[in-house]
Amino acid sequence: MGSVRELNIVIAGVGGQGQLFLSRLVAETFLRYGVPSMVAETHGMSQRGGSVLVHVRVGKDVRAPLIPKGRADIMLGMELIETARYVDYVKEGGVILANDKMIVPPGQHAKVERSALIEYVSGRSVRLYLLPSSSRAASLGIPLSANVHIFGALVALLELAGIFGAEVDSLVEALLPRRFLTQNTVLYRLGKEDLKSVVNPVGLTGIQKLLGLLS
Amino acid sequence: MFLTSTTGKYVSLRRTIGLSSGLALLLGNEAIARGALEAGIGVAAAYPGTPSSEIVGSLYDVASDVGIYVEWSTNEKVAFELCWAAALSGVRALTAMKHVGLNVASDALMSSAYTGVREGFVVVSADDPSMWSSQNEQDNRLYGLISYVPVFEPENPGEAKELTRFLFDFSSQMKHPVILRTTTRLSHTRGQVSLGPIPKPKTAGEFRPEPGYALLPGNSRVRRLELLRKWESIEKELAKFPFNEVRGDGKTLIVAAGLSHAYVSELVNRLGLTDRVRILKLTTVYPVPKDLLLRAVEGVEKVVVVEELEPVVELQVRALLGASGVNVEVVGRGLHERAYEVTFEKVESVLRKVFDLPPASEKGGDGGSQVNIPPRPPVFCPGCPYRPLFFELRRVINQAKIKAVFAGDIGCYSLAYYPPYRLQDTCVEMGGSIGLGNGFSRVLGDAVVVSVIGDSTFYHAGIPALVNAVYNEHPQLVIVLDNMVTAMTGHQPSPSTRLNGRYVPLENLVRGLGVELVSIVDPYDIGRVREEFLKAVEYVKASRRPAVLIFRRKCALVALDEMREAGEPIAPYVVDGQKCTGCGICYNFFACPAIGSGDDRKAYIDPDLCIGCGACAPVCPFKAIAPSKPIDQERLARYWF
Repeated sequence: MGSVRELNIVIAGVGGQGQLFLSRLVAETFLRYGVPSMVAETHGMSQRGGSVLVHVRVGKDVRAPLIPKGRADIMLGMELIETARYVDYVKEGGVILANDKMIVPPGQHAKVERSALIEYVSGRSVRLYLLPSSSRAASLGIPLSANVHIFGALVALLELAGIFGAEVDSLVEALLPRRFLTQNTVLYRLGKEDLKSVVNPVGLTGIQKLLGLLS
Repeated sequence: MFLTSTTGKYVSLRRTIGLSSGLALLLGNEAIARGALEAGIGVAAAYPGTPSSEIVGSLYDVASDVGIYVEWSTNEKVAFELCWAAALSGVRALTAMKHVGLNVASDALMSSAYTGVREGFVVVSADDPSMWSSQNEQDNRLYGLISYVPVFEPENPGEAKELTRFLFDFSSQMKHPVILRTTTRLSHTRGQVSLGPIPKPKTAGEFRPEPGYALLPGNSRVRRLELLRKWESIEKELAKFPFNEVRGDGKTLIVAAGLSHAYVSELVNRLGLTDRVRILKLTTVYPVPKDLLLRAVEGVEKVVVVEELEPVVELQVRALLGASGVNVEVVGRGLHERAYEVTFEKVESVLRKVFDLPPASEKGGDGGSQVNIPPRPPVFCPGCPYRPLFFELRRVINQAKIKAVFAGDIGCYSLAYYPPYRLQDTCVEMGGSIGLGNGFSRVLGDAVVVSVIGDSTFYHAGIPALVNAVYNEHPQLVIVLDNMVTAMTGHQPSPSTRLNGRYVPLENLVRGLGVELVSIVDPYDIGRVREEFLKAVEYVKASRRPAVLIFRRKCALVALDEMREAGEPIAPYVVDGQKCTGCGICYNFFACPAIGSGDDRKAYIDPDLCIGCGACAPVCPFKAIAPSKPIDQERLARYWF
């Protein structure tokens, strides 16, 4: 674990969906493994329902906060339009874990199609995994916690890639929101399971190859 | 969660309060706060402003645990003066403000260099390269030049903590205020910070009069000469400043400060330039220490200055080398666009040019399909009291064909500039609405001049302009949006916030100034919004004097938070598909983010986003919007007022 040199994760979404909390979960988890990280957050005006991109950089070679376009290993997309907006940040062969929720900006309703967005993103040289994060969160009665589900998916991905070990669950569960802790823990585990069920064996080899370079 | 809660927002700093060693992940701003605590500050005060707000915000949150005095003041000048007095009395103090906030406090800053201080006084200027949340991109390092206050800049949260702590000692030693300059990127980057002990703070001071504290011309002339001599000793002291660093033996010297240094360091490694460069890492951005620079430049063939915004370091480097007769090529300005924040892309292109490397390959547009990605500007939150207000004002202005000029101001309501409301013709600086309104109403003939200002901004800088409007009889309609908090920056208390029952009632203030027409209106009551607006317009036209309408209802995020805290069930509203005609008034003109439409153009309310405020219900001409289950809105009113 101590040997991660540079792992870049961008988190895209709509202000209010919990991108900041998600980024802190990621950074705190790596801190517990003794790996330094930097998170470039978005505050202020953009929070008011605007488009939000948070940069998370992990590893001992990291000095500066922003990830340039084409250099993110992983994107966590909290919303489909924002996932599409920032897809150029993901490097060739990079992984996108995307919540399949779409939040259309006011006044733009006639102009966006879910299938076109998905086609656009998957047409890039990236591995796109769609996840039912919002509906999972809603079915547990905590609709605003889709970020916890996607976090579970990320942890599972990093586990598959050999970056995290089995001890990660006990480290992570202490970080989950204490309000509705039981539901959040279930949601985190669902995120892990959902990721494992959408990553097929061929994809898995690719991910191990991709992220294995880092550790 | 973190974004909306009015308490416990700064959990990361709070969690570290009991710790005196180890590592923590802190926001740059929290790291500055932690550094101040480790330096033993007794007083902190600020007016909030992105990107500075979390500095004093996190101190405010832990003030009673640590035993220090922290307040949100009415504006930056007032906050500065409070802290200055503490430092004059021997109590360490910190004030923090966004770059343009220092303009408001600049009168005090200039004089503080003349008086000096007895104990450490750190003024944090949080600049906003790229203007993420600001009206301009001024580089406040330049304030150092005009004020004779030295300026320091860290490169990451860990260094920000160490530097802040050190600067309190430096300021105490030199008996002089200092400016700690940060930027949006640094302030809002979270990174590792190593914790040190927090001493017991000194909060009580003692005032020892000095002639130099009373800046009458005779005393000021003496102080001016003393200041020039003090500046020489500050320059001398900075030659050994421990946060500056020279490293490497290459033939090209790269001078970089703050975040620029972080980007340079990472790229020099990645591009394999380590053997070709020497790096001067600067933390003292003004003044640049001459001896250090001369040492760094020995044996190099070229000097490259990489910096964000204005060439503050570069001009000093050129001047110092020129004055010392060192003849070496200096490049900097013109290597990249001066505007906007420094990025990997920018620094990489500079280094590739300087070292004759091929340009980086462009990523993006790799031949896939194209798709319409709609813009997503920030919008009023679901439940925001400003939405029904601006919806109705736009409607009444269109319907009654009122020729109006809207002088807007700084706050969430600035968003009314955007469609569908388009009710901010100007938005320039804090308090600028009523100030410009005074002038517009003098010269624009029959147009109705409407100034729009929030409660916090009104207390901050709107009052003198309104006094002027009353006294000089400027016929403008002033709209004060009273959501009882400083909302945009994260819900810091403004003088209208009920703080243990204490507040400064706007209407008393305004009536006391002599405004005759003052009405208080609930912005959700769009019928009354229309009626009172038309009445006030007529009054201003007829009397040629100012009128004030106060639209009062709490920020929806605060109300929602309090409802959740109290365990109130939130019942979203729903659209009755039978009654809905698909007219689009709710989603196109009222424009709540929770309301969308399907293929049949009929409205649809997203239950995840709807907060059950009910503001949209009266907007629907077909009464198609109703709560999904019965809600007693009258009982819920206590959370909104």
